[in-house]
Amino acid sequence: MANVSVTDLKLRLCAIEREALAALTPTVLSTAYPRWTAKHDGDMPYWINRVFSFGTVEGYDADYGEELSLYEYMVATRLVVAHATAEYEGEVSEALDEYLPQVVEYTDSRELLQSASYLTPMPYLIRASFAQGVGFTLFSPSPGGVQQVGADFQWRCQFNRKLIQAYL
Amino acid sequence: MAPQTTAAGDRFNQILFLDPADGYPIGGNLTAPAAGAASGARFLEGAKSANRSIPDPEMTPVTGEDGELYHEYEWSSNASRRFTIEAAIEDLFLAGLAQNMPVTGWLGGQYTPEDIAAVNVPNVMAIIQRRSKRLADGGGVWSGEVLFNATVRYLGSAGYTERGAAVFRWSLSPQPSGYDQLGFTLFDNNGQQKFARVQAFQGLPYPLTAVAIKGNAIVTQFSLDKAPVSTTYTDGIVERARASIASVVTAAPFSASFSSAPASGKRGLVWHLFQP
Repeated sequence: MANVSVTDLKLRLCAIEREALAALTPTVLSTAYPRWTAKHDGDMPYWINRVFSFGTVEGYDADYGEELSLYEYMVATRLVVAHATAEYEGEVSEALDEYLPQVVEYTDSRELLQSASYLTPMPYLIRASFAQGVGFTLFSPSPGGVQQVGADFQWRCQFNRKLIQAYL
Repeated sequence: MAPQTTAAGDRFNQILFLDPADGYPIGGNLTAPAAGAASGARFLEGAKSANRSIPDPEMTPVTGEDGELYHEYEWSSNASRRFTIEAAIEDLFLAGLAQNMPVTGWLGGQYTPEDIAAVNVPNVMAIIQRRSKRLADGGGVWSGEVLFNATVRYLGSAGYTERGAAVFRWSLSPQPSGYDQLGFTLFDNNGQQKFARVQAFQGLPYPLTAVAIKGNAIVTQFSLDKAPVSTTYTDGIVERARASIASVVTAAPFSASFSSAPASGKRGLVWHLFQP
């Protein structure tokens, strides 16, 4: 039996991120990467994704039985909108104001991470939901590089897995 | 010093149905296996709790005129020993089986009636067990209880909440039994026959399971669902009498062979520890 696929998880989030901005009027085309150090082609906005923390919500008091485990993967997503130098009189801020609720609500209404690219629910996933985020932020992608403007999102993704213990 | 253990991790809880006519175990279905065949236990997986307990004794105080306590009489409680097994995993097939209701495949899923009138409450034998630690040396062992004779009822589900996992509930009522299915009649140390509800065990090196068999006077080898550990950890019972096991096959397909073929139509059990 296959494990929970973190690769699949990030690819599904990427697909939804692209769709979320594309659903805006007028359409915003973006690129999404299932990795954090994106060697992108310079087009903006773009997205980068990574698992930043993962754990279980099982405790001694709230157990799901020996056979069942509940795992929680927190995925951090960064939306880079533009270079800081592009901010002239609040254009990037205004764009972010429009993007943030769109991204949050678009993703939260796809709790099984389904999209046009991924029509079936993600295996083992109980639900994925928005956890928290940080708005307008300046990032330094590399030392001495041009600062970028964007926002951070965190998604909480919970999985149920039936495990077979290996008592050797 | 007597071996003492701590326990955690309820696991490998099982149910074997009993023949309603004579109480012999018939395995994982409501009908006995065909002559010369075996039928393994049904596993209740994802058990969150299986709190079997003996009710507290009942007390009757006798007071005098001034309200002073003269005496207290203690009675063995006649209260039901019923307990609930709560599981995080739904098994609709087993629910249907326990209620003697059909499980229908439809639209790619399973359907079985629940909360029906005149629900069937089958007699079962149950094995409740858990991982344990031997206090003396910290070694890992298995402990638990065998309920020779109990009634089982599917109670449906509870705890559907917006965020948390639901719970699927089973009720087991251990009943007194003069015989246990391990092949003994239960006598106390004074030679008096006793009617126990539970046979507790501890210190097994592997978890316990049982497979019901039915003899045809020819077949000695019966298939097992789980990998037996060894011949030493396997025992046979035919109609409550010990019947020795000559050998086991520990590689799939698993089996156990009796030293001599169980007689035709006789029901029995292969008890064995298994590789989890």
